[in-house]
Amino acid sequence: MIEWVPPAAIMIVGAFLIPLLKGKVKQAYLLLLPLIVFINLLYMGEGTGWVIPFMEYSLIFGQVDKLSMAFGYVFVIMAFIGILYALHIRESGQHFAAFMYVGSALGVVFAGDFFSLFVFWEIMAFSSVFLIWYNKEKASRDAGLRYLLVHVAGGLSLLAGIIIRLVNTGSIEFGPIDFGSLDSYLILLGFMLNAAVPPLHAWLSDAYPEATVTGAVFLSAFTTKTAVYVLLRAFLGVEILIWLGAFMAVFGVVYALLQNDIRRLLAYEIISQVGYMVAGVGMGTILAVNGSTAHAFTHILYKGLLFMCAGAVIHMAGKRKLTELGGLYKTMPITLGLYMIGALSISALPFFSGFVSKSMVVSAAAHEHLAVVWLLLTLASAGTFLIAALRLPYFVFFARDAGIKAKEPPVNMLLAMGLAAFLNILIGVYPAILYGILPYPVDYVPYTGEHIVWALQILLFTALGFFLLLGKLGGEHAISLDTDWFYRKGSRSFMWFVEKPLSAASQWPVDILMRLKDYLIWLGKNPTQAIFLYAGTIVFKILGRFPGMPPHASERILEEGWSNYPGEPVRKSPVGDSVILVLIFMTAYAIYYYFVS
Amino acid sequence: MDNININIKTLRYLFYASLVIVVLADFFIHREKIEFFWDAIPGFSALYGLVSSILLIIVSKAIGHKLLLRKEDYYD
Repeated sequence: MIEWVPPAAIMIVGAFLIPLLKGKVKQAYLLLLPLIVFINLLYMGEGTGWVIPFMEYSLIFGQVDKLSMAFGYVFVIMAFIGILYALHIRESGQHFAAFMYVGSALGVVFAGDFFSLFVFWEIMAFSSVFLIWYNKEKASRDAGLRYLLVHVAGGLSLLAGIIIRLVNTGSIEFGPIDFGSLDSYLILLGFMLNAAVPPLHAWLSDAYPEATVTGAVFLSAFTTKTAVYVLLRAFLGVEILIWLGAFMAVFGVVYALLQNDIRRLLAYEIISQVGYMVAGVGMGTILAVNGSTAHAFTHILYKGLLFMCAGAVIHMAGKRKLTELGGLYKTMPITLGLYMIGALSISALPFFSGFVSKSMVVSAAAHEHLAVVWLLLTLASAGTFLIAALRLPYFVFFARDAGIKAKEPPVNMLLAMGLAAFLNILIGVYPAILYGILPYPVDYVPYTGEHIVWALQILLFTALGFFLLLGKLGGEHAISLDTDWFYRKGSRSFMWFVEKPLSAASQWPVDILMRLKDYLIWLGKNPTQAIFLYAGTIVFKILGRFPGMPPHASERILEEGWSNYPGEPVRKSPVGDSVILVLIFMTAYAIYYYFVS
Repeated sequence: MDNININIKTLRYLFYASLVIVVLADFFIHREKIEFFWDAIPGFSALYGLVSSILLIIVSKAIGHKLLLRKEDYYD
């Protein structure tokens, strides 16, 4: 029978034990859990397992093939690295949130049906937001709430798509989707939001820099890569994704150049790098699918490393902006060295991990003769090197000495960074271990003379451009507008609309009725005289005087009449008042009846 | 301090040398597959890298200053 368990189950059930443990035992347990999940992964055979009947459908918790296994491996490796990096943190809540997040991401990767996929998709959003909220600053609370609301909106789009699909096809099976119907658009929209495809990307650059130092490491790895996985499974060869991906790659670099906050800079670099993977999904060829998968794999390792090193700087120096940092090479040389390994990996320097994965996607574009896409992706490569490997380290570790007294981070953080750095170099030097687990057999050789010379030319001459324009590249005391403007400022316009025009409009009927009431009270004091006064005023306006009276006297009588109102109510005939009121209402009714009938 | 200056000078010359070497190497490298016409031009990727980086810096900063950048308390 089945001798393995869905990895999500181990991770999520295991997470509930964390709050019960303390001290060294808890630390050991935190490291042990990803190891158990990894060993479990090794026992998972390809096929479909863990099919559980649910109403008239089947929930599938174990759809295992090479694609899901590749993502499963790197997710579990990153969970181990991330938890090692966070090992010094005592709050069980943070570890719990992190493992729930990793567990649900694994749940998505091995889900074979849309129901369980959707549930795991939502757990991801609701657990990861705590990695932002645990930073306990106002900016984090606000950004976390925006993050959650945006993801809930994306989740609703996905759910709507799933339901329409279920109604139309009667199936909840998760697999390739024919692009072109309403349900496919809605599902794609939900997936693209999590992949941070512009203009649905701003939640990422808004929230990740506000997360805890250790939480951001987890965040950088799972949400966008889960989205790349589901795109790979469902929307292969959807052409618009090629163009969105190529645009994304350049877009992220342009924005990263404008950032002053080091983790926001790296967050925009995530968007840029995921652009390569999305473009690969759109191309849909064997080389492109292998490339997107490989790049997701290496990206998790090198971006995790970059976020760990940036986090180490923030943790030890207490500053997070390029304008506040500088000169740290003297006190944090190990962090600098490990950061550079991550930076050279993301820049795809030969013998670092990005070189063997990114180039697969770029080559796939060349094979399809997509010249513009190729040029855009190459432009973004140059920009990535410029920003991640030159701009950030130059202004954080060199440039002017900001006089910050910082030390190297705690040993568990250094070990986690070191492990990620080792894996990046290992994959770069020995790509066969990565190529062996890709969805299709790999017929691609990264290390050819022409490819190495090509890459070195791009990178070295980008460095030349960097040094030529160094003066323009420092951080600026500014933030950049992005599409989150629409909901951050838009929500304010909405609140203004509610508070000002809308509440004023709701006040109008009240005002009108109040005035009507006042008038009726006034009229009720002496209706007979009021009617005589109205009649007299009308006569005076028309004739200029009362009949048989000079104008001057007429005017005086009228003025006296108004100012004396209600005066002494005419009590001669109280019945008469009632009769007049009855007459008024009957006339009104007669007029109403005449027009209605 | 002098040592550091000398080192920086040496590094700078090494950097220039590597620029020259890598472009020269491109003239002699064997090309197996040519997908685009520019694949056959020696030094094309050097030029493209340089132009890319300068263009990115100038265009990004221009867009930023004209359109996107705001004071840090803009949303507060």
